[in-house]
Formats: sequence, C-alpha cells, structure tokens
Amino acid sequence: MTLLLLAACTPSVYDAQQKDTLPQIYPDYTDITVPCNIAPLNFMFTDENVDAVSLVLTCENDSYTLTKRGKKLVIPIKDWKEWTKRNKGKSTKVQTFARINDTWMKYQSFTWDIVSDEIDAYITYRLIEPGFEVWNALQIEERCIENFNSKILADNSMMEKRCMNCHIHGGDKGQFSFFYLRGKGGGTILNRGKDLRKVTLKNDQMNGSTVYGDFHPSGKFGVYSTNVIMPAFHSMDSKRLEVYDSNSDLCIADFENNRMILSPLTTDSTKFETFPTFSADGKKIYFCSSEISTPLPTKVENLHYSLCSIDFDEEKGEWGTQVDTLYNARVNGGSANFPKASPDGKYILFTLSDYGTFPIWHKEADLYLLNLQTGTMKNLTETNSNRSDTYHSWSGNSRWFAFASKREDGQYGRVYFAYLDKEGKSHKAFVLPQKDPEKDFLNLKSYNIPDLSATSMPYDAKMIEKINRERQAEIFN
Amino acid sequence: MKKLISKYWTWALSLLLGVSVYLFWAYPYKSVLSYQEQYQLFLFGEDYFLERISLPGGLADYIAEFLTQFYYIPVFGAAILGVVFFCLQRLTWVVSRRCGADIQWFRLSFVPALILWMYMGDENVLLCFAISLLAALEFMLHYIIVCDHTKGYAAKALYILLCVPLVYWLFGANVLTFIGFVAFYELKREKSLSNLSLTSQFVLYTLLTILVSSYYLQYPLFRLYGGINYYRYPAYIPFLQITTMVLFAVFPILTSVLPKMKMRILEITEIAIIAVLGFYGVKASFNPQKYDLIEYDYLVRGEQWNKIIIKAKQKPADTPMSVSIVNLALSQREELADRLFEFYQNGAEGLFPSFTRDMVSPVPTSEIFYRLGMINDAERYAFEAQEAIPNYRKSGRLTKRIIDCEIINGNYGVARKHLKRLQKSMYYDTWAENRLVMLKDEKAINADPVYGKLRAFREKKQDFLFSDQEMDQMLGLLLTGNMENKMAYEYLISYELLQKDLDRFMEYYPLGQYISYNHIPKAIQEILIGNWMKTHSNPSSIPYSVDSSTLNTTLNFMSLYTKNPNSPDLNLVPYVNNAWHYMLISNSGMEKKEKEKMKDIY
Repeated sequence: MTLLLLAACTPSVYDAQQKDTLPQIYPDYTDITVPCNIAPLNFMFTDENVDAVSLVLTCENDSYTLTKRGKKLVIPIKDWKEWTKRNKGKSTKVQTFARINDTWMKYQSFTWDIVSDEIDAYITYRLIEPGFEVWNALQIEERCIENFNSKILADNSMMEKRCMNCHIHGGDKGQFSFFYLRGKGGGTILNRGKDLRKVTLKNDQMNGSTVYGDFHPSGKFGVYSTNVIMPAFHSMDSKRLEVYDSNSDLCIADFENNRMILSPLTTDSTKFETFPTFSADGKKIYFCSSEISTPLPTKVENLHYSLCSIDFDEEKGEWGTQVDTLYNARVNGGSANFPKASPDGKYILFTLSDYGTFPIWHKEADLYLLNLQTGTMKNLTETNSNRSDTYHSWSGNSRWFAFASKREDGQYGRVYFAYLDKEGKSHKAFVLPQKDPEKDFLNLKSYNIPDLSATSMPYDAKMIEKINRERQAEIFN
Repeated sequence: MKKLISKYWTWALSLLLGVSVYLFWAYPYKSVLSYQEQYQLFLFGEDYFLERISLPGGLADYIAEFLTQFYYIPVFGAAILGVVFFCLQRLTWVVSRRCGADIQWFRLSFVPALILWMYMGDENVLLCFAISLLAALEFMLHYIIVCDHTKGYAAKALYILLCVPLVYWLFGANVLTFIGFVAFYELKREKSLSNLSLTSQFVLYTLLTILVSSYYLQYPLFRLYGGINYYRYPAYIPFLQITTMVLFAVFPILTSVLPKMKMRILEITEIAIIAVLGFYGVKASFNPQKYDLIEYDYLVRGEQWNKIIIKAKQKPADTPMSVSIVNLALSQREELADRLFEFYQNGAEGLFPSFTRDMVSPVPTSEIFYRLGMINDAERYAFEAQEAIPNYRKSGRLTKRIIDCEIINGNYGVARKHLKRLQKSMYYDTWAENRLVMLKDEKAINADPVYGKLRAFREKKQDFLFSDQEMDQMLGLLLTGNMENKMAYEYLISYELLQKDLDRFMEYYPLGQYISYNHIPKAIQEILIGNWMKTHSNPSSIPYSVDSSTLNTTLNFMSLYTKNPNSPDLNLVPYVNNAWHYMLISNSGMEKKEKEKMKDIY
C-alpha cells in the first residue's frame, strides 16, 4: 500500500519532447570531469515553470533513474557512491527531463567523466560577505568533499568579531595548518599535529604582520609575506575594489626555535615581495615581486608582479643568495600572483591579471600553469572563465586543484575544482556540490581562499575560542 | 456610569497605557519604528525559521522580527507596541493578583511596563526582549495555576522540569525571570526546609540547563545567560535589562506582601510614581540628540525634503550627518547653491561625512552618492552599513539600495540573488517582483526615470579611485561626463565654498552656464560680488547678473566687516546667511578633511 502511494506521488516521464539545447541548470554540471570520491552532483533547473524533473545516468550497460517533483535533482548519497564505484574511469551519460506546463521536455544529454584519481577529501575556506572594508560575520569552515559534512573551525562571533583569515594547510596530507586571528590579543594559530599553538610571527626588524604564507614540507618552517594592505574603491561599474600593498617583504618562521629569518634579497625596500610558497622538495621558495616605481594608489595599474624564486637551505635555515625570475612581468605584461607548486614538483599554478596584487577583484584574472621541467607556460583556458579565477590549491596527487571563481555573477566567490590530466591538460571546472543545490544560489557569502587537505583538522571553533581566550601568543625573535 | 467605572477602571487604565504607547510611537517617535525596521529583514520560509529557532530564544526572536516588519507602516508598529505593553501590564497584574496583591496596588502594576518603556529608549533594545517577557509572565501564571490546583511537589516539579528547557529554548534568558519568580513565590508560600531545598533545585536546574546548552552552542556563556537576541550589540548586556528582568520576577511577590489598606495618600503616591515614571522617566530615557539623527534619517528615507529643511530651521543641524542631510534636502529642491549658508555649515564634512564603521551614518551618505550618480560609492556605503549591523541581520532598505546599484551597473546576477531573498519579505516583495521582471528588459531599465537618469550620470568613461580628499575632482569628472547633473554641479561648487577654496571656486563656477539655471544662485552671487569689489570700487560695474537685494546685503556686509570684523551685527540676519560670513568669520572648513584611515582588512 505504501509503495502504491509512493508510486502515485512520484511523477513519471512520458511523451517527452526532444529539445536541441542543454538544460538550464544550476550549477553548471554539463560535460565535466569529476573525481570518483566526489559528493553527489545535485543540481536544479532554473526555469521557474519546471514542476517535475528526471535524471537518467547511463554508462555502458549500467543505468540509474531519479525522478522528483519540483526543480531539484538531489541524488541519494548511497546511490551516488555506488554509481561512482561501479563506473569510475568511465564516462557517464546524463540525460535530463523537466516537466513544464504538463509537458515533459527531454534535453540534450551531457557527460560526467568519473576519473579514478581521487581529490583530497577536505577543503577549508573562509565564509565572508564580499564587502569592502567592514566585515561582520566570519567563519572558517571545513567541508568534506566526499559528502556534505562540514564543521566550523573558527567563528569570529565567539572572538570579539575579530578578523580571521588565510587558513592554509601543509604537509603531504595537509596535517599542518595555520590561520590568523587579527587584532589585539590575536596571533597565528599554528597546528603541527601536536598541540595547537598561538604565535606572533613578528620581530623588531619586520615592518608588518605576516599575511600570505606556506609550510615547508618538513613542517619545521613557514614562509610568509609581511604586507601593509590598503584598499581603494573604483568608480566604474565593471570594477569594484582594488587592494594594494604599501609595503611588503618576505620572512621565514622557524617554528622549532621561535625565530624569524630575514634576507636582504627579499626585504628589498625598492621592491614589493609577496605570495611566497615552498617548492615540493622545500629547496626553493617561489614568490612574486614588483618594483616600487609607481605612485599608489593613483597609478596602481602600473604595478606588475613577476614570478621569482630563491633557494632555501633547510639544514642551515638560510635563504639563498640569488633571486631568479621565472615570469618577467615587465617583459611579458600582466601581474603574476599566488604561485602554488604542485606536490609532484612538475608545475607552478599561478594567477595572471592585468595588474596589481588582488586578483580576486580582477575579472580578467586567470589561472596559468608553468611547467617547471620545460619552462613553458599556458593559460588554462578550459578551466578559466571570464571572471576572476584565483586562490588555488593543489590536491596531494597533483591531479586536481581547487580555486575560487566569481564566474557565476562576478561578485560571490565559489569553490571550483578542475582536473589536470597526465598530459598537463586541464578540464572544465565544476563547483563544490551542495546537498541543496539552491544553497549557493541564495548564499550571500563568498568562499574565500579554498585550501585542500587529505585529512580533517583536529580542532573546532570552541577549541580555537578557548585558545584565543586563554593563551598569550608565543613571541618570535 | 459610576458602577461601570468602578467595574472597569483597571481595564480603562490598562487601555490608557496601550493608547499612550501607541500615540508615543505613532507620532513623535515614529521614526524609531522605521529605524528598527530597517535593521532587520524578516523572510518567510522554512530556512529562515529554522535558522532562528536553532538558538535559545529563537521563537521570541522569530515572533519579534515578524512583528517588527510591520513597523514599515508606523501606525501598525505603534499599534503592535501598544498591544504588547497592554498585555505586559495586564499579565503583570494578573500574576500579582494570583499571588495575593490587593486591588489597592493595581496602579503599581504599571511600573514594570514603564521601566521597560524607559529601557526601550535605548534604540538597540529589541522587541524580542518584550516578547520573551510576555512569555515568562504567561509561564509564571501557569505555574501559579499548577500550584493552586495540585497538592504536593510532583506536579510543580514536573512543570518546572518540562517548562524550563522549553522556555529557555523558545524565549531565551528570560527563563531566569520565570525561575526567579518561582523562587520568590515558593519562598513566600512555604518557608519549610524541604520547600527551600526544592526551590534551590529548581534554580540550579535552570542554571544547569543553560550551562549544558553552552557545550552545544558557539556562544560565550554570558550571552546565553543574558539573552542572545535581546540587545542589538551581542557582546553587551545592559544593566537596565537585568533590572527589568529582576523587576518582572519580583514585582508580583512584592505587591502581594503589601498590606491591604485604603488610604487616599497611598493612591496619590501611586499615581505620582506612575506619572513621574510615565512622563519624566520615559522622556529622560529617550536621548534627544540620538533621536534627532534617527528622525533625519527617517525623513531621508521618505524623501521628505521640505520637512528636513523645516526641522533644520527650527533647530539647526550641527552634526556631520544631520548637516549633510540638510544639504541633501536643499540639493533635492535644487536650492543648495542658493541657500547653503542659510544653515549651519561645518566644512566639507557637511557634504560628505567621513566614513565610519557603523550602521547609521553611512546610510544617508549612501543616499547622497546615489543621487549624485556615484553608484559604486553609494553601494559601498549601503553595503558597509549593512555589514555593520551588530547582530548580523540584514536590512530591507539597504538591500534595496544595493539592488538598485547593481541594476544600474548592469550586474543582474547579483541583483537577482538579492531580489530572490526580498521576494520572501512582506513589504519588499512587490518591489522585488517588479525588479525581477525588469531584469529581463534592458529597455525598461533605461526607461525607468531613476535608473535611466543615474545610468546617464554615473562614470562610464574614466575609472578613478575614490579619494575622500579629492571630492571636487571626482565631482568635476562626474559633471563633465554629464552636464545635466545639476546636483553634481551644486555639490562641486558647495564643496569649494565650504573648503574656502576660492581659486577652485572661480575655476569651476562658470560650468554653471551649462546647467539649467534661470538665475545665478545666491551663494555664488555673493562670492562673485565680494570678489569683484576686492579690485573694483564701483558696484555698478559688476559684470554678473546679480539681484539688487543680494548686492546690497553683500556690500553692506563688506562695509561692516571692513569697519569692524567683530561687529555683532555681522552675526545677525541677513549678514549671518551671507557666503562671506562663512568665508571670513566662521571657523568651519579650516581643517582639511582627514584622510580615511585604513584599519584591518581581510
């Protein structure tokens, strides 16, 4: 009887009219490559008149059908996990139907290529309204990519509304991490697998607080930029916010000896140095650098950052003696930002925008891949959009990367994933799946600086609140 | 009639309180209702309800926000408050009566409601607090009923066992008001050791209930004990809130222990207390300066430019926010360059107040930028004001303005996202529906009288970065981009005059010939006359089209000033309203605007 009632409630597809267009769905999950461990790719039709929907997945002799009232196709996680397990390494054909005014429409099918290369299971990001300079609610959230579980790692409503930013993982499994609690009594929360520490990464010789940074593979060191960050506001509709540095240098933090290590080569007062990151083997530091030769902020459009590198000696804890340029912005144009070395040591993924040092508000900002073995560089056109694509991080197997993109509406950053195959070809990106596909459509928060990790962090917001309240920050010399 | 009065006089007095509350908020303080409404945005829908109900006090918060949305129409808002206060007083009395209070002390039952009214003079007190007090009173009453109709401890213990978590979760920290009453009630009822022990357990149980919840909720303990949604600033529990809670808890017991006596002097004393509290107490608790600004903002919201000017005539506006609103009102009547110096001026701050990180002052400043056609700056100020709402709520008014800006800038994706939310509201849904239809029709947007005009005004050719120290350059660019932007011209000229920069004034004022004026504005005439007379002796040689009254006043001013710069006559009308009075005598505008400082940025 119950089955009969359920059957009566579930609509069935009949006499569907063939449409020669792809369905209008949110998010855009058409013709994408996905990892076999991804959460269900739930989506919805955007046409207001749709009142029932259906999905048929087929792969060789296997098929799966789901029909629902309403506009949303929410695939049960168990069904999805079984499907990806059976069909990984193959291409799934996705056929969709929608009922509009009592007539079923059959749209052009599209594909989901489910690859065997898994993506790191966790991603953290900061949830923030994409505002100007006032912030209100900030949260650093960790989300499991394999399902829809999430936990709040830090919440500023528990900590005097202080600013928090840049949750970055390190180590081969993401077992290290740090982020900042700004303001009086704040510090850097440092997680190196043991006790959480609250530290002040600053000494008397440094002219600012640490901002962007990365872990050495050993976890013993971190490399940081110290930035004095200024905002400016554009007048034309196509632009909104410009953020530039009035000062920026690099430093290394020795976490075991509580000391900061500086080099005259990366604290050059005639240059801005920023966005440092270690190479996969920890022997080099990549960073971005620009000459200070333009009045700011009036001529911020003349600010062009090159991609550079310098050696690092882990044994001695010393900077190298020579800076090399990998991408010369003066010669090639644009501004290189946010380099990230792939864990296999083959590539550097970075952002190239027209100018400046804040690509998330530059609609032209695109992801570029520099092959460290061949020296060739390419625009990842298959992955990029006509809006800002930046703030990327690698998955541990170097086959996937996550990044923030404003491709939906130009203002709200969302987490996207893209596949990089063995030949170094990137694929069309897809957005982080949500249990309710409408969630991000209405969500007024941006997902800021998404960072992948193979493991979940061993702390939550309550622990961070306690540390913030009870501990004095350790001083570095 | 006498019989009728003696039967219903308590109801009549309660009704009088409700009507007084209604009149108070419907007339002199209706702007406060608009203020409260604009810093929250109630949305119909499951998600919104679940978001609210997932916290202690969530139901009270949800009900309060639902009711507060009606403040959009002040008479509705005032009526709601009238009913809330009427119910609070009646319930206070019913509970007191059930505790054994004599009718003689009825008038005192107005005291808790009046204290609450005084407390609500703080504009950050949320209706949620009053709603949760109502709930606490209701549960107090039921507790008495349970005690009166049962014997032994079992029934009331069961009642407490069930109600404490329920009241705490649905109505928040006013569970302490409830349990406080229970404690006093029990102590009065039976002073045995066993009852004392039971009462202590009730109190302990309540405190533990809140403590246990802190393990599951990401809120500091003091906020759980003080109420999460009673006050707009989450990190602060006002002393008067605690006083009010204590008063509601102990008042029924206090009145019940007062002796039965019928003395004329007592009646007079009661009436005196009520009168003093009701009139002077409430009056004193509403800070006139604060509410002055709230009223100015309310008038801006309603585009009541004439009323703003009348208000400023009655009592001069003297803060950056109020002065800027008066100047905005003048500009909307196209009188800024004529009447600028009729009103108090405090330099360029009176045109563009410095940005502050609060939810109030950026709102009218956003309005100024919007009407000028500086759309990105208008959106920035509206966005920042909304972000500065301390309890993380949204604002219907500010969301609308953000949508306006996004539509004008052609960012329809972002506009749609906000409009979809507004569709779920009560008073903004029709507006949102209309805009959603408009998004599909570019011609309709261009044909819209406001959007079309502002699209023509806004900067389209040359991008520049906002600088609060170079507003004249930005206004100049705006004006040269569209010479029909009369407001930009008036602000540009006023900016130079208020900065006392006559060189730049002389450079820019000729642009007025491209603006649709039928006369040279009075302030400009005054400066031109004075400037001419610095190098010429014959007024009839003045090459500008100036009217005789302005000419005479300015010449007389110059003459008086030359003879004695400290002449008291210079501070009288009409000289005090002359541009040269501001230039030569006023101290305003001497300090250059301090550059907007950078603080932490994400």
